[in-house]
Amino acid sequence: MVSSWHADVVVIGAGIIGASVAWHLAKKKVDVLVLEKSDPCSGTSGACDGMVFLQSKKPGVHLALAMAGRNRFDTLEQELDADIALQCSGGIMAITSEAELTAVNWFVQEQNQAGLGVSLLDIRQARELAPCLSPNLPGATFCSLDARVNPIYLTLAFLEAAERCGTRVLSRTPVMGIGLKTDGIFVLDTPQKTIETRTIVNAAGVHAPKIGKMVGLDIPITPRRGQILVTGPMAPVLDQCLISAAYVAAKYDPAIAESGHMGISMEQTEAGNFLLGSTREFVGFDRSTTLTAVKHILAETTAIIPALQDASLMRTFAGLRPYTPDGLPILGRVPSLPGFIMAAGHEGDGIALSPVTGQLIAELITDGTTCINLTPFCLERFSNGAVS
Amino acid sequence: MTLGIKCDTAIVGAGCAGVVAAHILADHGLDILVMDETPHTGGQSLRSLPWPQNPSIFTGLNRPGIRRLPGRIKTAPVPIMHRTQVIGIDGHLEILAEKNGKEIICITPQAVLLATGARETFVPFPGWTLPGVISTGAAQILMKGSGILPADNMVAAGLGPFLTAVSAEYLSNRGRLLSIADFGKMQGKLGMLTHGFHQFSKLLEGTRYLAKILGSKVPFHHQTMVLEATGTKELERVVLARVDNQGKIIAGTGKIYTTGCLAIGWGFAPNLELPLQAGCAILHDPELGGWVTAVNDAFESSIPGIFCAGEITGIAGASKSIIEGELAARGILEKLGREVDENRMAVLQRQRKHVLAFGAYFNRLHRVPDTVFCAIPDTVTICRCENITMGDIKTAVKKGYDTPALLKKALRCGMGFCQGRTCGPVINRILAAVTNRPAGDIPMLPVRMPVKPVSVRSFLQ
Repeated sequence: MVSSWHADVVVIGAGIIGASVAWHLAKKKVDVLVLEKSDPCSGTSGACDGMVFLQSKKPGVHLALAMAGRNRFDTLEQELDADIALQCSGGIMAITSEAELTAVNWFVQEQNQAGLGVSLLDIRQARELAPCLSPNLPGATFCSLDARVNPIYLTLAFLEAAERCGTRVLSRTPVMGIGLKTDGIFVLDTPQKTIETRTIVNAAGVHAPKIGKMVGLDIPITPRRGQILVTGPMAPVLDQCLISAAYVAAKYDPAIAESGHMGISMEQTEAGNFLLGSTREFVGFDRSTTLTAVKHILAETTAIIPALQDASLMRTFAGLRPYTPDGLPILGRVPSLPGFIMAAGHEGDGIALSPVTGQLIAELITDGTTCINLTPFCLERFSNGAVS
Repeated sequence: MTLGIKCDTAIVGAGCAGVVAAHILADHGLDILVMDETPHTGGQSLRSLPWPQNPSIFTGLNRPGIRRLPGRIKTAPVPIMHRTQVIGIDGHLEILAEKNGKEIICITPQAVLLATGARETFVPFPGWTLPGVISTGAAQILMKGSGILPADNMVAAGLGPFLTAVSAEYLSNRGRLLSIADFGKMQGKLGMLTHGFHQFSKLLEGTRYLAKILGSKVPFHHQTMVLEATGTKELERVVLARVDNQGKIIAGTGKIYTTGCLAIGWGFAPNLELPLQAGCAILHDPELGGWVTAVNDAFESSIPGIFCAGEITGIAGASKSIIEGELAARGILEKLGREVDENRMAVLQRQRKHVLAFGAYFNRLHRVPDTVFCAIPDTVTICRCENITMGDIKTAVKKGYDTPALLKKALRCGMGFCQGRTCGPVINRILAAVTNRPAGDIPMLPVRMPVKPVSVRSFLQ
């Protein structure tokens, strides 16, 4: 028997964005129903690293959003009453060539002008911070605001906190179709129930285009595979999270990413394992890992931290990052479809931007206005020809 | 550069199934490569000694069912790459392996035979992580592989024919066994008589072990299990207690044994990591021993070109592995366009049916009931790598984390160095038991490359 349910807001997707949106709404006493096609945190949010990295963001709306998001982390453990393994020991960007040094110099100046304190260090200073760094590197940058969390703990903490505020989470409940009645009420078809609501939040990550199609929207999000390697537990040697300068370049220039010099990111988790990542590949929804990627990531990471040569490779995994053509997430109401709100397309920034995204979407729904202007993140930016 | 090797068939595992298959394929002129992670040929059933053999220790070779195998190993002109750990297979049948712990090699065969065998399962109890508590398999490896006794005295406990076999072996090697605690009933052993009609050699083998034990006057307790193991730094005492017909501990029956060694084994679980990583479909059948790979009559899995044989298609011992090794080899020959002797296939299929029937009887008899998993005390560690207790698991299940994948996310169990190899099968049974679902409703954790940890240096060569 298919029965009908009602909710003020239906959030589609129980990844970190959907979970955060649900909690921020539930805190404001909004009746929320989360629909998840498989299990919570089974997609991108469960297959990524946990970096809350500011240094890597382009100065402008992206960095501003990330800095607003970063502030939220300081009180999050308290607010959620959960251990999210937050570690605020800063972040290092390792410079691996003299050419990069020039580019980074410019980048750091821009960031400082934008209000993000980043310092450029020579290798001696960098090794005082992180003695495991190779002495052969030309230098590094450091930003004390960079942090990391356990992305899985954070996603589950958002959801558990939302559930404590009355949010219903339906796992293994895929949305199969969305109808719109003349009175503006959406009707969502699922195998178990039909759900009626006035407001839908599309937080389906890489699957957001599929949801969009159900209401006639073209959402330009593409899965971009990121392969990550996990080493066996090692004695703690790296407090900070670390990226290579090529990472920043690869992020903004797809040609660099495809050329193989994509740059790497690494962190040592609480348990002592290193997470080494990550590739940026357009291979559809294929989540397999490849020898080429493993060799490439290990070659680049061991050049930065030579001690990793003594590690064992314990596991590999791949997540599909929701890529948008301009690297910015898609947030806010869709003008052609009042009641349909986008919260997807964060690519590799979903963890870092999850608290601020949830906060903004909740403000949008309950107050109608947001503390940060969402115009640069609107879906229409793609149809207006602003981005080719 | 990664070394690339091309061959007709790559075989993973040089145990009974793998070696028999290799022999037959090589006889048909196929280019074969056998890989095994250990330094020896013969798998768990036939552990060769690295020095002149001591016949009194090497009882395994005298088992009637597999006596003819060593001859085959010697004559088979197939290259066996030892100390080679296969770490993954991709969708195009490309195999990655680490050789000698030093370099990564890449093998591109036309067909793959997975014959990865089985490992022991266990039921966690208070004190199971103490030094001095070993598996019955470890006890056998020490005796067969290294020719040494695990300890001069010990207690053996668990369930199944392997417990009897290892106990008898220990006694043959003049070890002092303080007690054998078998969770099963004595009547179960008698049932072998009716089910073993076609398996005379196995009956003989079992009877020989029993005779050895009964002749030694070692207390052989049935419907008895370990209540707890204690000791300050290592094992000092083992408490055994009787269980009722439902498998529940009977209060007040505890008996203390002072020993520094406890060998424990509850039967076997197939090594499914490679089939799972490769994407082969699995099925759950308690008569086959739980989760096994699904194969067709030619022993091909759901992934075209990947064949499976031996314990990973169902737990039933060496005889089944030998038969399936030959059947799978013939399945591969057929796949590669060679002619196949249909009569021989029919004979083998008949033999397999008998072995399976006997195996089904054993697996039914030695299925650990859910009550045993439900009764594990909350303080007992289940995932040793991440220090997750039974209580942690029960709390998480109450919050809705009721699949292995969700538990892994919520608690990290299965994220440690063993990647769930030790606790995985146990957690599946615990989940089924505490949520009152059939074990077949609890999926296995997904497995990704590398299926076992490998040195980072190997990839840098």
